[in-house]
Amino acid sequence: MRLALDILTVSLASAGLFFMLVAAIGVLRMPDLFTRMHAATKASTLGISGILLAALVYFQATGAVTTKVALIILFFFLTAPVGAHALGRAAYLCGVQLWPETHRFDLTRARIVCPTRGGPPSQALHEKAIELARESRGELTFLHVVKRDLIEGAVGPGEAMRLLNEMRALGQSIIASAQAQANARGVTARGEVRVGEVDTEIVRFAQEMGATIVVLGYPEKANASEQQVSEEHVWALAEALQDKVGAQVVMAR
Amino acid sequence: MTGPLAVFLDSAMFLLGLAVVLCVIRLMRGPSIADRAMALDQISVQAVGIVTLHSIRVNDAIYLDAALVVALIGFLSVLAFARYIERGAKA
Repeated sequence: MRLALDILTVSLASAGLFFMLVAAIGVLRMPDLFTRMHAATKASTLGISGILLAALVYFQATGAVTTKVALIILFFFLTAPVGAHALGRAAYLCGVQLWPETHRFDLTRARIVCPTRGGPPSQALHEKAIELARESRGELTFLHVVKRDLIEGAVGPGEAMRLLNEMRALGQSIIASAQAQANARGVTARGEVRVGEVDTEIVRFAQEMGATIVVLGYPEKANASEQQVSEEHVWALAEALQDKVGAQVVMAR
Repeated sequence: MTGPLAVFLDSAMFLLGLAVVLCVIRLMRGPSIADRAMALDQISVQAVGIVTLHSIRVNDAIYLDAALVVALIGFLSVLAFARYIERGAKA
């Protein structure tokens, strides 16, 4: 009987010891405070429970010990998350940096960018972006990019300036109507008009904004081959946004 | 106590001591106060483990009281550190 109890004691203590060591290695090796805390809190709670259970098995003859050990285990299960939460929150509020490769971080407010061409086909796109902004209480910015090469290729250099200004004004009115659409839904949106190559500007603007979500319109072309070309184009843009900006891309139909 | 169980407990305490050393390295490296506070809390948990193993080693459950006290102090100190950091220490 004693032998069986001793064997149980040893195996429980070994398991506990293993997790305590894992926790200690995690504390030393993990890349930032929050991942270190995650290692420390979870693994060490499990580890200390194992060691205490070993004591509980070893002293099983006396009831007072059982109560005490159970109390300590319960205490750890209650306090470890509370302590870690308080410390993590304090550290975050004081600006402790996250590991740059952190993917998901729910404390940041969403920064949504919605590039738009304007006109009736973009209504659904705006609607989707506004809906997302409302759900996440994030900030929404509409972006309109005026294609520079379109202007410079089409007319002489004298005309270009006038045409550019006209296109800019058109962009402003597209943004204004998108903002009005957002206002009607109780969302305040900002707007921006840029000039340049469309995809490059969208990526650059999303980078400047530190966008977390980019809402893209799904192209609907009448012609099947055109449809395929523009779909591939949008997917390439979405990939660039994910790689260079780290933003989540949402397609609106 | 002698025999295999005693040897096991001695080496287990030694390994926990090694874990403490790892946490002390983190305690010295930081880089933020929160890192140090967390390492200190971790060390207090490991101290509870060592005290518990010791109580088995000397076959005396009275040491478990000490373990309980260390656990309590560890938790309270983490809360105190958290408040201190939040009230505007330079993290």
